[in-house]
Amino acid sequence: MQEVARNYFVNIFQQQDSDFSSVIDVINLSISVNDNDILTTPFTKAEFRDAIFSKHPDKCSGPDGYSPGFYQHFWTLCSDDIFKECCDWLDTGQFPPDLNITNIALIPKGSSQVSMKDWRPIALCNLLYKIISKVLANRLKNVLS
Amino acid sequence: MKAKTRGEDRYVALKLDISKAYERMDWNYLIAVLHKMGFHHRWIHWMRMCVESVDYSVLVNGEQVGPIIPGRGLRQGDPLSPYLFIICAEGLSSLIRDAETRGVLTGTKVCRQAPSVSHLLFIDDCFLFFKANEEHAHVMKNILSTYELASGQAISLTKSEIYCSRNVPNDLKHNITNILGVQVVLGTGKYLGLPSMIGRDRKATFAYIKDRVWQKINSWSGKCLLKAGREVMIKSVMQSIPTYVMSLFQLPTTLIDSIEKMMNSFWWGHGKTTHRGIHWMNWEKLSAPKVHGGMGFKDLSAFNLAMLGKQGWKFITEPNSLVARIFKARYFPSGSYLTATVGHNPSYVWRSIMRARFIVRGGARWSIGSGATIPILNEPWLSNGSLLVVILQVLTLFIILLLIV
Repeated sequence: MQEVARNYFVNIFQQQDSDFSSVIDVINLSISVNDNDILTTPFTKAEFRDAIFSKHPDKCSGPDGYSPGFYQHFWTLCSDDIFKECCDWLDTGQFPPDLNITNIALIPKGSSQVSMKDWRPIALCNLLYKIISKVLANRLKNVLS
Repeated sequence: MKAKTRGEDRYVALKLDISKAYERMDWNYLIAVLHKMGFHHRWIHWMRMCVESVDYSVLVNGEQVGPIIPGRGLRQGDPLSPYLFIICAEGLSSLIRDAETRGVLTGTKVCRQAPSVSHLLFIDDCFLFFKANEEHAHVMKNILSTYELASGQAISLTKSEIYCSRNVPNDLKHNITNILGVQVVLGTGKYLGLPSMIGRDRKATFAYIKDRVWQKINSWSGKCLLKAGREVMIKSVMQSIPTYVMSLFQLPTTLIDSIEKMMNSFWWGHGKTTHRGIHWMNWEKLSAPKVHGGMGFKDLSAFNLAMLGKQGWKFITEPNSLVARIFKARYFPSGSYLTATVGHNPSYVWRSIMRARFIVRGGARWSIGSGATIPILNEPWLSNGSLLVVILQVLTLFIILLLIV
């Protein structure tokens, strides 16, 4: 069972050669200098605060086991550390290696499960990673809309 | 949904089935698209960090299997993924747009002034529209395979569905399906969880809602609930099943009746397998608010109308959205939702939304800004109706006064 699951996901996530030059050619330039400025301005603590408090406190936690509720509750205590560390990682362009470990939980799809296709894989990320990603996503959202 | 055209021009709607859209997304492709769209290199580097530093472990029977180091794919559950996916899907829509500007592909229009629609994308649910002839089918096929090759997506054409407008002759239909390798269906598919075609038999189209409510009632968890538990079950589970569909379609009254009946018997049943029990009160009384002696259940048909009214309200408040533009061109080219008529050969959606108009009309008022767009006599901008009505009221009062004196 575990072997089957492993093979299935290794197969899916395996990189394949792709040829995208013809697609890239027709894509228009759509991000202006102004947009880029918005995207890359220094981060503020308020952004991180928004990201954390926009999460549902009881959401399932990732491999590290901390839920959003934890960070929300202790925000006054840990905000400075989180903010400093995250900015550090983003500035240096390097995440600590175990930040981005993700569990995949399998959720049954349909009434009977016979093959791996009958499960819906849901990725559970570490919350710390999710916060960073949410901050970035919020910026991207503003630019795209 | 809007593919009801039956004009002289022949059109085809193609519904794509993309399997494992997130997991198969190619990283190099993503980065290339980001570059091309003009993102700052710093930003691109952050994206790479977020996407490529992943390693997975799969939870099977409570044990971790892994680590699996991926070479592609976005994660379901990462807040960035939807946005990155939209950016990638931009590739597909650019390809289609490019083909359109070169004139080898034409999108559909519901009528002459309407905006042309060639593709609707929502993550992995896509609808493509094009003219029904062999050349266009070939072009479409090419576009799809280039996109597949580039992004790593797997479009399974055998599971995709095609729907031709009614005037497409059978042999042409046959040719197109051969070229694309898809199957023709008569609109049984769903787009975004809603039935994409509504046939003549509405009851059959929406029967699946009834089945789902029925399943919930018959599930074991429903059987052993207390009265209070059943109240919660009805309020938060069963009543929310049809909500999504009701936001767009007016459900047939017979269907609503039978759903309400099912919920009523569930409420009064004693939880045994027979589901028998005396119904001490009918649904109308139960659906009254608790302060008025009911149970606060929803009156489904009123709820339905309210939801539809909201759609109509959106036509007024967001006139620049795609839906509003299409409906305006098709049904009320001059005028607004409030003054529109049902028109000839309307789609079911439009008919539904028009049914709810009296609610919007009853409550809608202009709020006075510069006053430039308000027809002063007929439109309701006073708190009790239009100026005309008010003048008439004053006049009648005046006449009555005169008569008395």
